[in-house]
Amino acid sequence: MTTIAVPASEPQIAELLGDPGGAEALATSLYKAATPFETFGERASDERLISGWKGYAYEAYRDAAGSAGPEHEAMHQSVRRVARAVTFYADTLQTLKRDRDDLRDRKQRLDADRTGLLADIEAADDASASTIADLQARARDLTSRYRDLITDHDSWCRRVTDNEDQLRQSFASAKGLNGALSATGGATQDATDAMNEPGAPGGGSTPAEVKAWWDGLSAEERAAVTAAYPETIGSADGLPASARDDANRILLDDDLATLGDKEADGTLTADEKMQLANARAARDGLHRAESYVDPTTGAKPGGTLWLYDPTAFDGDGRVAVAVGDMDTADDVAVFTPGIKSEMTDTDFYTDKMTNVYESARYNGDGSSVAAMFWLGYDAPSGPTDPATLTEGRAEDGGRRLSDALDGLRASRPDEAHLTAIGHSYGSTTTAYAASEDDFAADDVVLIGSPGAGPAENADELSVGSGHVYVGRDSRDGVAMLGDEGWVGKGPIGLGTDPSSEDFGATRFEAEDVDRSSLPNFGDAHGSYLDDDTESLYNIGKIVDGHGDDVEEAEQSYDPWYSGAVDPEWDRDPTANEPGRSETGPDAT
Amino acid sequence: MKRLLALSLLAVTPLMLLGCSGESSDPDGDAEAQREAIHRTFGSALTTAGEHASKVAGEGRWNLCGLETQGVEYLASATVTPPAGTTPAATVTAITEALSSDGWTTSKQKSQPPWAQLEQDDLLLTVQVEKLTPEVVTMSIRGECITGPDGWATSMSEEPEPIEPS
Repeated sequence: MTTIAVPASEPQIAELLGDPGGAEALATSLYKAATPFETFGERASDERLISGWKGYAYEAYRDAAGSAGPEHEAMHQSVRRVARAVTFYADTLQTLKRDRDDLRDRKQRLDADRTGLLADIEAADDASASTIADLQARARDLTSRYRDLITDHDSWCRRVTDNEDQLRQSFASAKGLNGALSATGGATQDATDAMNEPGAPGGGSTPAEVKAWWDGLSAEERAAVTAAYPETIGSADGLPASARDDANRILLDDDLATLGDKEADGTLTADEKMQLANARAARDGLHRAESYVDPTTGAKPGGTLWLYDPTAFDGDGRVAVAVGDMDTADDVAVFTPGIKSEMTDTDFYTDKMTNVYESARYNGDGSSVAAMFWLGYDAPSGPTDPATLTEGRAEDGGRRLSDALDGLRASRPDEAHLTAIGHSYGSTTTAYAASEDDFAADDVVLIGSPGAGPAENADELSVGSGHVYVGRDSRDGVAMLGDEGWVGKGPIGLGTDPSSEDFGATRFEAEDVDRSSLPNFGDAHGSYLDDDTESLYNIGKIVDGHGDDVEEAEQSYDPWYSGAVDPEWDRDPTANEPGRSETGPDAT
Repeated sequence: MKRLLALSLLAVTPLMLLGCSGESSDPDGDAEAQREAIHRTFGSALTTAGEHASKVAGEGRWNLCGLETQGVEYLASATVTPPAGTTPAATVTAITEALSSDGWTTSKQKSQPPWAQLEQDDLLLTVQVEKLTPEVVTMSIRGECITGPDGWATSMSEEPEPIEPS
């Protein structure tokens, strides 16, 4: 007799209790509840000293007001930490719900296969040896798949319990007056212990050390530090993008709820108004990234809030939003914008990142892609800002960009292909970053560049001249400012023109059909990332790891006997031409 | 001579920087004019294309453009289903020829992949078979980038609206 061992139908997929929407509503209520503590604490501190009032009663008032300020600030922070823990709980619950649906679907497919196998066995009287072997193979395969499902289900159940435990502990740590007044009220013991371990971010640890610290934490500890210390986790170079994203979303939710409430009751200060505008721009950009659909697959590659600091740089803010999975994408692009860029532009620039993503995918080799808008430096505020005419902000920004890319590199266990793209003043910033010896990018793209900062030629950038690419529209007034030739242009540019033959980079076609007949700062300077342009086509090729396939353009040159010559001036630009300037589908 | 050139560029630069935005003084008016022009021109082109198709479905929407100076352009596109028994490549050729007879000037044409560009009144019309949808023909027109004050571009609706043959 032949035996075919058909596995049992298991596990029973557990129910998931809890409603993410209800938890989010609770978090919003808690954010609102925290604000009066802050307001009272500030007022108690401000009005502690009253001139003209003396005596025992005044001394008693002064002492009471003196302790009320710090106590209420501590209570404000404790309630806020609990609110953030609830936000994290709600976000995790949402993820767990999706994962449960996946487990349920897998179970249903397995059960259908099992039913089919039982029917085939039932019908297989006097079956041949090969039929029996086939049935046995199907049974073994089914057993293996059921086993995997059981493992994944167990893991999911642990995550459910961890999520509930974390929230319970957060509530417990803020319970009672002592808990609420403690400096760590609302933070779980797991969180405070983990943050005191070597390699924790915020204490001068390198990105590699931070990565090692994170790898050594349990899932429970990771959840705890994310909920309790989102400011630190959200900007920690070396952490996986998904961890930073989790933390930054907590901060974003906090700002939207807290500042939105203040706006509604008319108590928003001028600084908070800017902070709220920045938060809403980050929210819109993130929503755009999450809504984007990859036309080559029909799937949504997702969005990541990699950096969120809406009060930095006197209210201009720091932010980074990515389209695609920064933790797993084969090809990662990081774009640094130029002057005028502020956090309120996040939504607009995220749209540009969808263009870069799409171009790399549409004309790519099938590798996965992520494209990130990075505004982690203090960009000059406009053409009339004196900082625009000097390289100080670019130099400082270059260091910050280099640190960010170091963190990105350290966060990945694999060797992703990394491209740094800079536009206008951002190209000078990128050149400063790339002039550091250990710059983490593989390829550098400078577009609309007023000069390559410290590098007089492409070989001075650490990626080597073979990996430096330059896009310059022949009418781009900003890109004409860089030095070339033996006379140069004095102090008006920001270094050598990287599109010139003196510099020695690979120049790619980047003419725009609306470039106009004269030099300008409009279409010619601003179309490099527009759909169906030569520039975006070539940038997509470079991001995809195929810089050798760009449509090359002849470098500009500056003979001693005349002015600078740009061979691209007389070439007719193309738009939406397959293999040259088509960057995505026209109709969906 | 070279120094003169450098000095004159130096003198002109602040002026260029100050006026560099190229921002429209009436972005809403310019945008509406562009939208109307493209609806009219593209609708007419779709009517012509419809004579060589079993089905034509067109739509238009605002698309973000620019970088430091932010703007929008109106993007019109259509999916054209070839008649039974006709290949998409043959349909591209037939539509291109019909549009040429209709006053469009063919500026570029390729057979592999089937693709053509035609011009009329500073508008560039692309007719092609795209690699993701090789069973149909697509047509598209894109307007020039219109820039406006901060926040104006992202306030424009990117929701598609139908464009009917006219």
